[in-house]
Amino acid sequence: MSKLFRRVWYLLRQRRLERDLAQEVEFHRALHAEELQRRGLDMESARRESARVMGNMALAREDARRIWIGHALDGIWQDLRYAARSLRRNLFVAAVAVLTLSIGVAANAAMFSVINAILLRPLPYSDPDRLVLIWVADPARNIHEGATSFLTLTDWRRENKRITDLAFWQERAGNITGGGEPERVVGALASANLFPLLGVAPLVGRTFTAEEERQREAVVVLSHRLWQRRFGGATSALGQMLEVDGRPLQIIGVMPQGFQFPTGDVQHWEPATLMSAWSSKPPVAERSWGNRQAELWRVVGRLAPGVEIRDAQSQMDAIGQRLARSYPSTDPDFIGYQTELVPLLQQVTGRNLQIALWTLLGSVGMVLLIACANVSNLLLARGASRTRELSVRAALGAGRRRLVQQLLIENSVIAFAAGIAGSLAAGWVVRAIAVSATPIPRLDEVRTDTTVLAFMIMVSVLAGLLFGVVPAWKLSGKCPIDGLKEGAIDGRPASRLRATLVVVECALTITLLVGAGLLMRSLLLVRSVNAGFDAANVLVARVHLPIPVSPQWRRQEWDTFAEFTSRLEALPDVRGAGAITNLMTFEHPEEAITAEGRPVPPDKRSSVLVNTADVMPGFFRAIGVPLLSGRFFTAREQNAPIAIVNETFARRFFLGEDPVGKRFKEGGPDAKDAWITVVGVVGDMHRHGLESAPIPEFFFPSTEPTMDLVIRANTDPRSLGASVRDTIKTTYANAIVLQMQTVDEMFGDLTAQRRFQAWLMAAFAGVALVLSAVGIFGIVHFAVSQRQREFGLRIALGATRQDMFRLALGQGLRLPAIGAALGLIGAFALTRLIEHLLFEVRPTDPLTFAGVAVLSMAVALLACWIPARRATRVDPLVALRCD
Amino acid sequence: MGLTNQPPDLLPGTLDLLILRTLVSGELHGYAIAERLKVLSQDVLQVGESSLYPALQRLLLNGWVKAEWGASENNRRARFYTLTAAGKKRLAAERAEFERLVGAIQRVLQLA
Repeated sequence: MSKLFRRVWYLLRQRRLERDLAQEVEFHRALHAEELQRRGLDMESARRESARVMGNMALAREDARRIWIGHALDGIWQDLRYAARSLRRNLFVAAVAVLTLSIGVAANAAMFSVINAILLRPLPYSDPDRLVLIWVADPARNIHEGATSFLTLTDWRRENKRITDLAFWQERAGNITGGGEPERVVGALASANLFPLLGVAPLVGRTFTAEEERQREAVVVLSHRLWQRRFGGATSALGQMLEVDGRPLQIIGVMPQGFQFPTGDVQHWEPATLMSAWSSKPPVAERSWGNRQAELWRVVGRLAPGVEIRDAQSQMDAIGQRLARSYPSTDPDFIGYQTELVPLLQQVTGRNLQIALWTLLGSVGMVLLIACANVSNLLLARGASRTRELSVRAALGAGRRRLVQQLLIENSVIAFAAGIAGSLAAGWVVRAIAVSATPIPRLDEVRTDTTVLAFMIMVSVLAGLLFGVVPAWKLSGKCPIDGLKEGAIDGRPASRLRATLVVVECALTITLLVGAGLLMRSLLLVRSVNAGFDAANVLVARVHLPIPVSPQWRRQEWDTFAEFTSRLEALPDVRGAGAITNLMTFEHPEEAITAEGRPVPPDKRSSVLVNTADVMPGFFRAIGVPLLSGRFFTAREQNAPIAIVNETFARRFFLGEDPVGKRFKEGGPDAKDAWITVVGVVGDMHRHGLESAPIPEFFFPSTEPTMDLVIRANTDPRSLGASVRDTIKTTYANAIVLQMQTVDEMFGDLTAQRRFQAWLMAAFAGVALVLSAVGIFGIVHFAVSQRQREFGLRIALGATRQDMFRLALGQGLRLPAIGAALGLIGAFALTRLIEHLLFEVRPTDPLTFAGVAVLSMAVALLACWIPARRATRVDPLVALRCD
Repeated sequence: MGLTNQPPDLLPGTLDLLILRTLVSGELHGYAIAERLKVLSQDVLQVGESSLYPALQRLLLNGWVKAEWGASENNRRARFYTLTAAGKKRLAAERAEFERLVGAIQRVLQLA
């Protein structure tokens, strides 16, 4: 090891070493001359004689050099200098090769940075791979990610030995008041063991203890963000009070920056036992601790060392079955005891995003392969004109190994340059991706760390080998005699290889194009889904009314929202306004209902859960949902036992009959709830996003403290923002505007992930298409220029120029045609992998396949056309005379 | 190729051994090493400069000797070589190996 180190050291200080050696040898010669003089020679003869003896010192110096640096290293050094000269002479070829490769490297490095940020970088908890979320689920009823009751999770904790510990929490939105602008933030009620379970210590102060949890101490731990925003990051915040919905909580600690659990929205954590303090009916909240039906808590657990997630799952299944036998429930709202364990990282990123990212990485891998094939082709083409040079070197005694080494070193210089250019470009691409695709989890944390760097180096080296080895081997293997013959043109063995490379390129491109086509079609189909209302020119303002609890507060809330809508409607350019609990919702439907006089479903498995929302009378008119039957609510019907249902609800529960005038109630057939009369039927809205089918819904004439004000404008609704804010503030000074967005923006956020996938894939496929077009162009161009003499001869013998064109074109098109056929077969096999990412398009969608085939052949035709034209311009005289 | 410049009567690898041996008594410059070899071998071993200096470079590379510039007896600038600890170990090992080899050759010559 130290020997190698010394070698490299010598390599760097070669000049100094040579000087030392020369001085040393000169000293030796001088002593020798003195010796000779002593023996009686005169000075001049002694000098000459000693110099003669020293004559072979040049050879000794060579030997010394070899010893210093070693044969291999010395050869490499020579080759590097030679490569630099050779590339400088062929600057154009070198530049094209570097550019092509750096596109491939940049795409790979960028995509890998994204994957690294989202999937590979560990979550900021200790040993995060062992953290799992334990959801209650009922796949038969399409219920996932359900919460559970305190009693049930206590059973889990006691009985599951494969999970070392589990913690629980629920999220609550609250108003923070006192000191500074009032704001509404999301906080979490959490069990005291949450922080130790995640393995994260607070930045300052401490987290709450199990004792504090039991004693219901009013304490709170802040997120770093909230601490910075409200307390300017001062340590003096500890011990102060944070007022949440009027309850003073003592601040005991601050979590470090980047700690988010379960999501970045959550800004503070307080003991779970404070739940009763949140409730408007504390006794009910109190009773829920002992009620298995009160499914309020979400659960995170840590797998015991060495336990696989499926082992833990099987034990949870067994516990679930036992609980179901011990505590049966007939309540149709109750989800049950079946569980689904999900790794925390998968929960954060989502399965579809994982599939999409790996697909995209595979795609950029293909782009890199295409780039390598192109550069290989380019080098082979250039190699044809270098045959002479290589043959001379071989004739002078360079072994094949030495020639391959020289060519490989030339190629590594190209790969190295491309690696640097590509990595620089990648940083830029990553920033562009991060900016354009913001709602994707963890993407904002994308950065170049050592993993990314290692990957970039690996990709560059791999690319250098991929494109370099084959041409180097091929070119060095020629018999030197052939190459030295005057005018020898030998493209044959290489041309078979070059044709294969073009076919592979085309096949890969087609596969990518099909993938991109399918994703694009899915995106377009999602965007063309009718949301059930006109999404254009609608502004949604999420408003919270912090009305103090009093006998009339419900009334006051209703009146205030009514006041908002009538004042907003009076604004210029506003056509209508209304309010709904939330326009878009991602909660899973949780209500069961029973229709009067309808047969009760035989078991709760087949009962359908519905969704419900509170609306103000003007809502449906403002959003533009059609009334299919019956009537809308009136201003005087607050909390009346009436409902408007959607089309799906009517079809599902009243089997297509007009439900107006009929009644239903919440809960199962035994529920004591009052009957609700249907007064109207409206069209379906896609409130769960555009990709899922509408859910049965009913709307109730009521309000909640936080509502979405929906404002339909005549113009671009964003211009109304300021006046809407003013109107809200002047109507009710304490109102908090939480968010203001147009419906278009909301839908944009919903399709963000799809856009990200589809456009990236399309960009990669586009790059692949351009690269393979260049590849086709190159090979046809080369073939035509090599066959100039043949064409000239044919024309001289009477063939028309049209014939020549057809000949060149036909030969050129053969390769992309074979490639396309192979590519379509490959795509047929591969697109199943992205089935989950598609929306209403089958992975073998004939339209996409046909479209891609047409597009690629059109591009191939164009790429062949231009060089094939040259075949028609061959002058037979010039061609025949050419040497 | 240059390594074949050794006198033909020298077994391969023995030059290194001999150089190391000359350095046991203290630091020497290249010329003195050559002289010492010549004198000690009673003019049998005449090491050419063209094999001495590459051999010295090889010993340097392996870390068996170290070199320092200093002043010679008549105040010329000369490069003096000293044995390192690793060199001493090497010398002992090579010497044992050499004696084993020579012993073997002698046994063959006497018995055959």
